[in-house]
Amino acid sequence: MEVASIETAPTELLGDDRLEQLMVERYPDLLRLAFLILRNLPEAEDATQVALERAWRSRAQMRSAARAPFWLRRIVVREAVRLRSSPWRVLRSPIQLTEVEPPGRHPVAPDRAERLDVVRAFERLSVDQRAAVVLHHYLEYPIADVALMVDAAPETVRSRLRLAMRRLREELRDA
Amino acid sequence: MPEETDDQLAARLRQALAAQAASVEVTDAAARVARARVRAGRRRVPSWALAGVAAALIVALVAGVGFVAWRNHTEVGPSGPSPSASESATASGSASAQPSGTPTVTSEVTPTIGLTVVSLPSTYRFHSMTSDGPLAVLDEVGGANDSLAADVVLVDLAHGTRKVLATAAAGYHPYQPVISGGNVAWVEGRYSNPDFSGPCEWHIVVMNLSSGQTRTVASGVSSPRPNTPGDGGGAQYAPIDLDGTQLAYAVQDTTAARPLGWQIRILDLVTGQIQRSISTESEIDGVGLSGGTLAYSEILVDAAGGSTPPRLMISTPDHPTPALVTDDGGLASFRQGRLAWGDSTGRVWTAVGPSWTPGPVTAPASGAGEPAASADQVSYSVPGTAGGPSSLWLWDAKTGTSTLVPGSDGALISGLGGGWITWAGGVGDSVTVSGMSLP
Repeated sequence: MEVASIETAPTELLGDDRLEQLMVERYPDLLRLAFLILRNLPEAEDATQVALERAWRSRAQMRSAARAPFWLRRIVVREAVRLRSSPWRVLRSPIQLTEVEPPGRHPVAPDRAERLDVVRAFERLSVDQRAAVVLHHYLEYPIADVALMVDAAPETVRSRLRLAMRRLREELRDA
Repeated sequence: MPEETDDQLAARLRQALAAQAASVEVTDAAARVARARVRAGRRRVPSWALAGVAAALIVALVAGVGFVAWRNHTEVGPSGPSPSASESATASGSASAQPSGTPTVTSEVTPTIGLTVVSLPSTYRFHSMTSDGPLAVLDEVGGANDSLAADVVLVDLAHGTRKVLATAAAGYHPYQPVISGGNVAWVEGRYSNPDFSGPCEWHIVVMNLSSGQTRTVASGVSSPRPNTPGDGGGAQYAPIDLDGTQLAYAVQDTTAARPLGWQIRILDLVTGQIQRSISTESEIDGVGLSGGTLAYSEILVDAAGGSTPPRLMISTPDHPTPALVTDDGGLASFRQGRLAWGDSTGRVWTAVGPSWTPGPVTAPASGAGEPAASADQVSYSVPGTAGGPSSLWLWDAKTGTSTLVPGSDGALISGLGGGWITWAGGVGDSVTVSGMSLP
């Protein structure tokens, strides 16, 4: 899930076929993003599916290939947050995933037990806080971009990040 | 063992999340995208239906006063006693949440004139807004290409118009416009790198609305800071506020004893003289100016580099040495002598001089936020429940009660002053600025 996701010339315009191809290429990235926010794979699949539908319906607004990855991620983030807020969502049991080490990234991995502590603490954050943490601390988007993605003021994003980090500390201290 | 810094904790988090993300296996991407494409095609709304909806909206907006009356009729009943809090929230038929813990909630605000709604392009994303009477100024984060925009927008709700007030200098982005007393001020900033990293060069522009003339009144460069909370150590624009012909702005001002310090200055726009300056201990989260009294919130960093909630400070002309108002409050608004802010639990507070004792506007964890203040009122938005749109509420200092602002579904940010309440937000794909004159 690299951030430097602009892989086409900035001036390239997206046709329907190219957009569909881009969606297929980006689907794993988008699904993983939704999963990190929702912590539930079936819900993440639902959110990603609905987000892709929304993206396709509003594709006239996005004809720049350079901005398409950002645009797709933004729709997925919003759909994930919206899904978690909806009373109509079907509650499902979270699926336990087998954790594997991503190839070639983070050569000094922390102890697995310690990592699970971090994950458990992360799961206790609100969905808004998780979205902000994933976008800023994991995907390394600047605050202004995170604000765009979650449709909130930058000050709000900063506040969510502050509260999230404080809560993570508290949870990890207790653990 | 010393507590890890924000950066160290963020690094641990990155590693853990990377492992989690890698554990998600994806095998049928092409099929899922194809399904989305087919389903999206089936759901498309026919153009004649959209045209019908648009026509209905135009008729409703032109109706003006009738529109508000219609809302009152359908939402709280055409006559009889005011509904109770729960009746109001339920009968509205919307998901506008009654802010839990608000002391008393009455029926909707009754405007003296009709609700005015000005539409903006659906790609518009609000960042900040202030208003003075029916005039609201906004900057934009987003736009068609998702980049920071270059325009400051003025919305005149008395006439139902909007226009681009100014376009920032090439390469710069306008930030945090404020309006007061016929002047509009904003910061134009430019980061040294396209990803908003590196030092930020800024200058403050003031426009006189009568003459349309602009002038640059201050400039500077902000440097990135290590271990600053929330913003990942990025450089900050200079926070500003405007009160008539007085401008408050902050510049980085470090010393050995205050390695993260800033200095807040009050500039007289008529004489060009700095009237007062206050040195702060740490990063500035917000600045407010009203009647010569300066309020600001700053974020302290502990020895381990960890962040704390912003603390809210006050400096009056008679007692310029900053005094603590609260140790958990990010300043949101300071107008006509009234402070309004939100704390880290999602509760809105207010205070007035000379004691500046905080008083609650909402209950703890009400989720309310983005407050705006005037002499006797505080407006704030409340997130929608059950996935519904947010709504705007107006708290009255004389009665201690909050009222739902009609037609405020989707309100995100608001402004108070000059006898008007204004707000910006939207439901679905709509993006609007709305407002009404208050009784």
